[in-house]
Amino acid sequence: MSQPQSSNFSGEGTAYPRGAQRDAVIAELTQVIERVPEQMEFTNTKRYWVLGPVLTLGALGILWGGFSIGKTGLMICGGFLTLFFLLLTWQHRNAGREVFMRLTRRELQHSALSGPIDLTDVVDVFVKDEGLVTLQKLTLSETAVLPTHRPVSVLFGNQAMVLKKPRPHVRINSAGVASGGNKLAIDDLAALLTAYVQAALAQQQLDALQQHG
Amino acid sequence: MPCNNMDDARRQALLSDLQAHADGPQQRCEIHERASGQALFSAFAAALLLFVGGWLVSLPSLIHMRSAQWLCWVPGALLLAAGLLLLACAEAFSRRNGRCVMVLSADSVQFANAREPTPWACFDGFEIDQRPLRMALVFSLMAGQRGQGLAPPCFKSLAAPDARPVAAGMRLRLWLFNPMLDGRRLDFEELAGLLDEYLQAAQARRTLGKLFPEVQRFSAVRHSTGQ
Repeated sequence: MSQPQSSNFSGEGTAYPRGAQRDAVIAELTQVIERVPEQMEFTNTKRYWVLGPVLTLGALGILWGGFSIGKTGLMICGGFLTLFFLLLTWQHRNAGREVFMRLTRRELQHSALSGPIDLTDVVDVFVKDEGLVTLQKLTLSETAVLPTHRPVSVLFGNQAMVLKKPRPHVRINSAGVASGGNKLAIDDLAALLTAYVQAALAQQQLDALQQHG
Repeated sequence: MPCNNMDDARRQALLSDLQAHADGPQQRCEIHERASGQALFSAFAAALLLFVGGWLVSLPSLIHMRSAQWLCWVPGALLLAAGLLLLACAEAFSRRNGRCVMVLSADSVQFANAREPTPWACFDGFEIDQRPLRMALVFSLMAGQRGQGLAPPCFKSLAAPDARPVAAGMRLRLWLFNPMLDGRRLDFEELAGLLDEYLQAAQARRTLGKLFPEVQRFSAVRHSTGQ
């Protein structure tokens, strides 16, 4: 979705704008940078914290049905489902409160990654609602320094995966994405990520411009 | 020099292209919301749910049930709650019906909950998403611009077609059932075409003002003298 912008001023022997043109360029870059807040924090939504008890009640119903009819298969199935949904609810007891991802105008931080991702390395942003979880896929440039990820042992938890093939990319999974208590629609999230990537690129160009001015 | 000639030709082509686009629609359009069908349907469904729920709750005493009365009360109470919720929705939709969603004019768009009109030049695009029940409309704001909309609370957004800023104020989102223009329902292609005409004209005027300021001043004089 985001256009991979070439960093116009970072190459060798580039003509840097001067005078009024330079001021205009700086003003435009500042606008792109200030379009997004300095830092945004993202949590998951309370989807499974709300759904978990309802599903647990349903599973208890199955268990109770198994006991009253006297079928062992139904009892085992109900018991297994009850345990599963109880575990799911318990694991999501902090849903919507723990910040798992932070975006700044330069980098993306994720709780399951060993280090931040430089947003200027991102060449493509793809956000998809996969039903149970929301997927954010950031394709990185071939030269990007990749962090490592650690496994997250939570069902439908806030996971991140750094993969090298077919192209270096980061997959971020979470049970919905919210910021400041408001759920984000997937196209809003894609717009936000794209704006942050553009802000990072603008910041890079602004730094190069100020270094040479 | 040939290069200069080509530049001139391209400049002329760009100028005439921009001028053709800049003369967009001038009339004022008021887009209203029609939600009478949805309100009626919700009220009917609410009545049905309340009736069935009430009947289920009163069933144990009607048939002199001795044990397991909760088997009637629990689903009955759930149905009653759902019916009350739908009744509230019906009330909200009936308030929503007939409200003005947007007032489009040549220079700006006024949202229902905005204090002042937002100039078209603030937007760099819009998206319309036709869902099974409703139509979502998202305007994306240009860098350096802020929306004038106010964020309404959850229930109020059912009762009024308010725009609210999302994605850190970079986008304005609103939803509506049936956009009506002069008593006629617009489908999403017509609405997209209408908004596109206004937005393109405003953007062409803006570009014209940046690249060819002298031409724009001339056309402003021509407009004001009514020629």
